[in-house]
Amino acid sequence: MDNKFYIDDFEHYLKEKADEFKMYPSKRVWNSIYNDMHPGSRWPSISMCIVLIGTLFLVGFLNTNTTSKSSSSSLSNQANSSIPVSYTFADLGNTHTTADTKNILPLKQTSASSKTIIAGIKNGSALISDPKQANKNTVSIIASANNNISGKQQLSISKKELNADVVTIFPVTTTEAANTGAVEKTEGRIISGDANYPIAANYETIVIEKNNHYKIIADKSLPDLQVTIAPVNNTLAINESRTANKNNQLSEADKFWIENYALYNRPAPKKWKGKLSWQTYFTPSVVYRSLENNAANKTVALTGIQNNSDINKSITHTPSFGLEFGTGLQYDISKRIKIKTGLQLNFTRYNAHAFDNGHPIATSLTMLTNNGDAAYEVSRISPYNSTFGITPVKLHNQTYQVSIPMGADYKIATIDNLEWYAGATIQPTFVLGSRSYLISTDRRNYVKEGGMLNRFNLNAGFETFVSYKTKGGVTWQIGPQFRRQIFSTNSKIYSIEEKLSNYGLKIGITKKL
Amino acid sequence: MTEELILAGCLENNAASQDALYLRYSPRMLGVCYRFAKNREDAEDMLQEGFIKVFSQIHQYRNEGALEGWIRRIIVHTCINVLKKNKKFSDCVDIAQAGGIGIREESIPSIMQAKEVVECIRLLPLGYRTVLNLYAIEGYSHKEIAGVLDIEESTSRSQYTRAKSMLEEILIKKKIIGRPKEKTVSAIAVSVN
Repeated sequence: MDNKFYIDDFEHYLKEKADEFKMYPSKRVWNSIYNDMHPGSRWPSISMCIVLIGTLFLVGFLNTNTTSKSSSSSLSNQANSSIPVSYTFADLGNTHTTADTKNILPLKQTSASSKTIIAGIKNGSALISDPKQANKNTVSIIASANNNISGKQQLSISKKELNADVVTIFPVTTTEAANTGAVEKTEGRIISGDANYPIAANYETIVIEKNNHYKIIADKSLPDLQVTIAPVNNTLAINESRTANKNNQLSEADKFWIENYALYNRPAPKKWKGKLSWQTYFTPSVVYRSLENNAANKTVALTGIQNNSDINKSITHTPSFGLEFGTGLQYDISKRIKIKTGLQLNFTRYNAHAFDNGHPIATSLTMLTNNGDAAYEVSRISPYNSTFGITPVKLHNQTYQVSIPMGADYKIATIDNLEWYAGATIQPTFVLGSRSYLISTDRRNYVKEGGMLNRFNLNAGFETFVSYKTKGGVTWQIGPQFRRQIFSTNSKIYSIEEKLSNYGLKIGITKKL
Repeated sequence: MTEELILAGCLENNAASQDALYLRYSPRMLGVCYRFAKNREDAEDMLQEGFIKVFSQIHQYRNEGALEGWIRRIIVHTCINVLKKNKKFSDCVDIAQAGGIGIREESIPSIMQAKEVVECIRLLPLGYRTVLNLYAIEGYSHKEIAGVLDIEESTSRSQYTRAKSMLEEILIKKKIIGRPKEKTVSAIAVSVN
């Protein structure tokens, strides 16, 4: 073989080969660099992310299957101007074999405006040629599967015909190609045309299963391309052949198969791999409440009595404990920013200090009309007095909530394996249940009332935390969290507006998926 | 856009010039990172960190020597720092750990030349690979390697000898190079020194 030569300058050889090697980074890299170098333009996108985070995440997560299922004809119609040439593959006979590359059949051009090469999957070969393509260095091919033919097919492109030093062939998601012309270079195969180390095989072969879209880019203008479509060689036969040739005497066909197997029969890389992580956490907290009298200075319809004193001072409430448990997914949209969503359960409680007199007495609650411009009273009975009585008791005002936190974390600093983040979430919340003791109009009684619960609420969470990445790939985090309820716990017709605040310590564990 | 214009734009933190510089050098630099990294994703992270340093420190470039060489130096240092930070390097640099690692022939993909050689380099244990990359490809001396990797100079020499020997075996098995007619361990040692 040509490449069987003795190399006495090993370092020189390695350096030469290593220097020839190029790879094309994904767009993510430049986007992250840009965000780092020009931070001012990053904040609008963060705001947008926070607002649209739920929708984006769901769409991104559900849209993991990037293979388009549209037919080849529809792709041809959808192709835009970023794809240079358009053909329909001629109906080829089944008599040609893989090696029968001399049987070059002409292609039929069906639409001058359409700009995609459609190659039907049948045995045979075809020459793709277009005068308009003479000065171009990009060709797109759609290899379209015929439903009547089962199994994988292979599409071969003659390297001899390419006449270029560097050629990259890579699959393009058909949807992307049709809509935006965007290409994905991560799977690109670079073919070196160095005369000193000639290409071992004469054909570059791509194994295809259904509608696949490939883009070929060369550093020089691409001449006519010879494309061969044929069924993949019988796997069993080739395996037997490999067993028989244990002394590395592989045929060219075997090498083809090995290359194809190694490069294309592996699991498809997932775009979110390495960026998506699963997190679970819990947050013990202390729960405070703030009260506001919305009926202040309003005349009560029946009694005309209104207590305009500061409600927060006229009754005795003490904070109690709360607990939060959640699990969710995080997605790294850049080196510094993660977006996250999940499911979260919250328990909140605070205490009202009262006296149980053992027998109910009549009292009233102040309510507001729907538009809030007038107040009225409703009668209730209750054994609990807020100022005096027989037995002191602690009344627990508590709620059970389920919410969907959606937000983002921003990495502020990194020191070795420690990272410091700040994050925020917005949490649409459904209140599963509660126990509420409402304050009477005269502030002297507590009334147990379940019918005024505001089932749908909204919370906002703010946190900062330090995370530590262990060698096992698990990340622990700990840090303070503040959670604030946006709307009142009770219906807006109850005159006392109650909002809860949780001050907690969040402890979480995160693992990359 | 000429290199002078790109440089001038980068000095003014101009995004278009930075993009042009990135487009010009990122493919080759990603190739450099890929030789050091565990996988493509790690290589892209290294490239990203490296280019941020390049753009941040572009004012330190004195037009002495090729710009590509200056960028490459920063990228290589970034790769080393990342490996050291992640403790991946120190975990694998021990010769005793690496000595028993076998090379599975079927794991070597037969791809074209340059990529094939790089993939073969990447089959080496991380410690071997790093020393080989720095010495044979990046042109560092063993003294410099000892400095950047915090190891003894003699360790660098011995690692390189073993790395070279192992890589030769891989390349011969892969039929990328032929087996030397008279190849002895002492000959390799002489060539290293």
